[in-house]
Amino acid sequence: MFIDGVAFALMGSALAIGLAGIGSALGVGIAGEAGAGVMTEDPSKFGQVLLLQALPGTQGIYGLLSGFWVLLKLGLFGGTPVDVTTAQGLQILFACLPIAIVGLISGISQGKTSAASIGLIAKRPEETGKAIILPAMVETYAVLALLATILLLNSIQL
Amino acid sequence: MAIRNMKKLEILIHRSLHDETFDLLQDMGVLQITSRQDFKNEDLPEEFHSEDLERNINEVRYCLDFINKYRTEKQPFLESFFPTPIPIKKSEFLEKVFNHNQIYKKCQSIEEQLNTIRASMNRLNAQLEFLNRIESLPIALEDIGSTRYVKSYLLEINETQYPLLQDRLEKIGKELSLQKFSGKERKCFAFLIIYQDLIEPVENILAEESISILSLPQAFEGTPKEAIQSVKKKIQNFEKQRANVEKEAVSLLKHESELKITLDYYASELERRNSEAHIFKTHDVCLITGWAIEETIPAIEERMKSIGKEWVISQRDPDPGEDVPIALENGPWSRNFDVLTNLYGLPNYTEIDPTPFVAIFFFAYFGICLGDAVYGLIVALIGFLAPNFIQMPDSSKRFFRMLAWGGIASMIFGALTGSWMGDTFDYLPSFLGFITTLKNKLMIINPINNPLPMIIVSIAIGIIQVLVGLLIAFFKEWKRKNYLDAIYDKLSWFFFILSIVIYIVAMAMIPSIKTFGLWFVIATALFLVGTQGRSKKNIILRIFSGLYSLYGITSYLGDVLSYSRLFALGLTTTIIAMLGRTIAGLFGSSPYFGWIIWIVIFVGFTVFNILMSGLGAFVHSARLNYVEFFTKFYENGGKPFQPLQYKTKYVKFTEE
Repeated sequence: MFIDGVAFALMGSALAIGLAGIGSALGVGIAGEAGAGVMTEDPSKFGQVLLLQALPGTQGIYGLLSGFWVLLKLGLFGGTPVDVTTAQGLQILFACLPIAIVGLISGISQGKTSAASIGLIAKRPEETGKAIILPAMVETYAVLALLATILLLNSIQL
Repeated sequence: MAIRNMKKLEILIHRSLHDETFDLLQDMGVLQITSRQDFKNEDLPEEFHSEDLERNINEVRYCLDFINKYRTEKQPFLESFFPTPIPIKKSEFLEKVFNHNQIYKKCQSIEEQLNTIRASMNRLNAQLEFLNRIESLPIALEDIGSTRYVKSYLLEINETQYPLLQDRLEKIGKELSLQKFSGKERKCFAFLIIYQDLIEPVENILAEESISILSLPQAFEGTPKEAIQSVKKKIQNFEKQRANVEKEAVSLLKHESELKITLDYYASELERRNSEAHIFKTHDVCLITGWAIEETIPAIEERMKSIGKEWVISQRDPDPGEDVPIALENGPWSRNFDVLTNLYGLPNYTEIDPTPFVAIFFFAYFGICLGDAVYGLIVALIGFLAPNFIQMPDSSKRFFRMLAWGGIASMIFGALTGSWMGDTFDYLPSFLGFITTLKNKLMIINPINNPLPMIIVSIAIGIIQVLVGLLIAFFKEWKRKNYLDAIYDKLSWFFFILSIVIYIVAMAMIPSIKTFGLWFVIATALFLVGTQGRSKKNIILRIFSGLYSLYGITSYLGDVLSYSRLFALGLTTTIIAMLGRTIAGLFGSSPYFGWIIWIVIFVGFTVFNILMSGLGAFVHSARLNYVEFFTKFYENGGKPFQPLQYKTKYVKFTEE
């Protein structure tokens, strides 16, 4: 039984890191394409473009954080491994799903918004502040998903 | 703490004082000149044409761009964000006579030469590509073409096709010669010489077999190999030529600061000329109208005295509905946060300046979101020191100071939640154990082991900001004498939310006031039901729309829950720091050079974490203020106060 539980928990950890990471990778990629286009016209916008491109990168961090939390909880990261039943393993797996799923999709959406914002600063560089706020509106839901994952993980007793 | 009072000034001067007055106004930079629509100039003398100035500005800009393109030495990274200003005395600046024309012509001629060279090189490279294809042919290229009696072709055909071609050509007649040369990739070349009489049948055959005749892009001499050599030589010559011309372009760099000063001069001149075009003139007098900050008016009058007596200044308050430009004035602390108000959009003239409130909340939010004592210290040091070491405009200085104060807040919240580079301080060497003890003593909430208190704190802060927003909205309506709206729409919601909070607190902690809390909720809810439908005539409709309005509590609930991000972002910083510490520890335990790896990984994670968490802290703190707070009361739409002044992008005035 010991093996099953850990396997499920690790799957949760892997999904959180993997899916949220994919979301961020796609999002940062979409924003980067738009940014490179803008910089062919005006390379001096590098700073602002980089800032906007970095915004969809946070989902990956949230996923990594959740996955790391699971590893800490299991005692696999410098500590003594904890016994995990199948049920507990499944609980951890499900607890990881919010950030995994929301991270994947919100990362892509935020990337699109960032790309649009990069288009905005191409024409009106003085509006960088507003351009940064729009992608942050998407990120709200990634933060909420992270919050859910953390609270769920925290409520599981090992 | 507020929006500065503006006055509409009307300065009536004798025509002879025109230039001196504008000198003075531009020097002071206190008056935003507007035009008076109700007057018509009686004579329209020297109508101002801005084309000359604009052309000059464009030419100087072109020169600067050109010089920048051929800059050889790398500029420091910071220079691109905060260019070092050129110091110059104001009097020197105003007497600036620099003829940029020569440099402009030079830039143009260099660019033309480079374009010609580039075009020639493109052509030569295309030739080279062609010659490389037929490189192995041993024939002299000048032999291809036609003479009086014969014509020669160079053909490129498939190996398999060659016998067929040979066959068909032989059938036409004997007066031709066909020679085969090996080529690349299953192709071969054929050199065909024929008498002029045979042109038609031969070309027919070639067309039927769809064989391509290679035509030379240009007349070459010698075999392809020799031709390649000569083309390469030509390219080398052009390259040498280009290097020389580019050297010339680089040498123009010495004029850069001259050009920058000139550009600023022309821009200031254009600004002034455009302002002058706005004013009203008669044969003897000029009338200058514009906006000025109330406190600066005595200074204007004082300075005007020095230029003569033939002037009158009158002032009046802005009329309601007039488009008054906005200048904010804030205390030495909250001033640093006005970038946030500017980002969202300046307030209307009748609106209140939200900067002091935003300052306090942003300070706290940034602190919670970054949420680490050591990172806070690093951000605070950078934020306070950078403006002293790097020359930058005032607005950037304030931005850095805002981050620095956020860093200080982060030190406080980091200490309270026990995050010092995550949990790194738990692993200090034993002789530093007292620091760990101190850290643990300061910690009052541990969000990792017990997240609930921190979430409650976040949401409580959110409730406070929403309530503050409603109170501000109430006072705003009250000041505008909309007493009923103020009480029914703003104060009632304020008390309804407050009553719910009291009831929840009572249920959780103080059972003795539970009944009071419940009645408080019921009373405020009834008040809302009774007043929210007041626009409806029908009594039933009125009650129903009153009841429906209670549904509005969901939007407040959404607002308040949104503040839970404060907790999540603060925790993110801590956990990423822990992750960095753990991974650094894993790799750092390798023998001999382990400590180097440890330092590299740990420092890398720290820098990354500060950057990403700092970005997140800024963005989300700003968002909470904009979306959850400003929507309660704030109306933006003000235009910034832009007085006539020197438009300087590159220069900075020094003491005379």
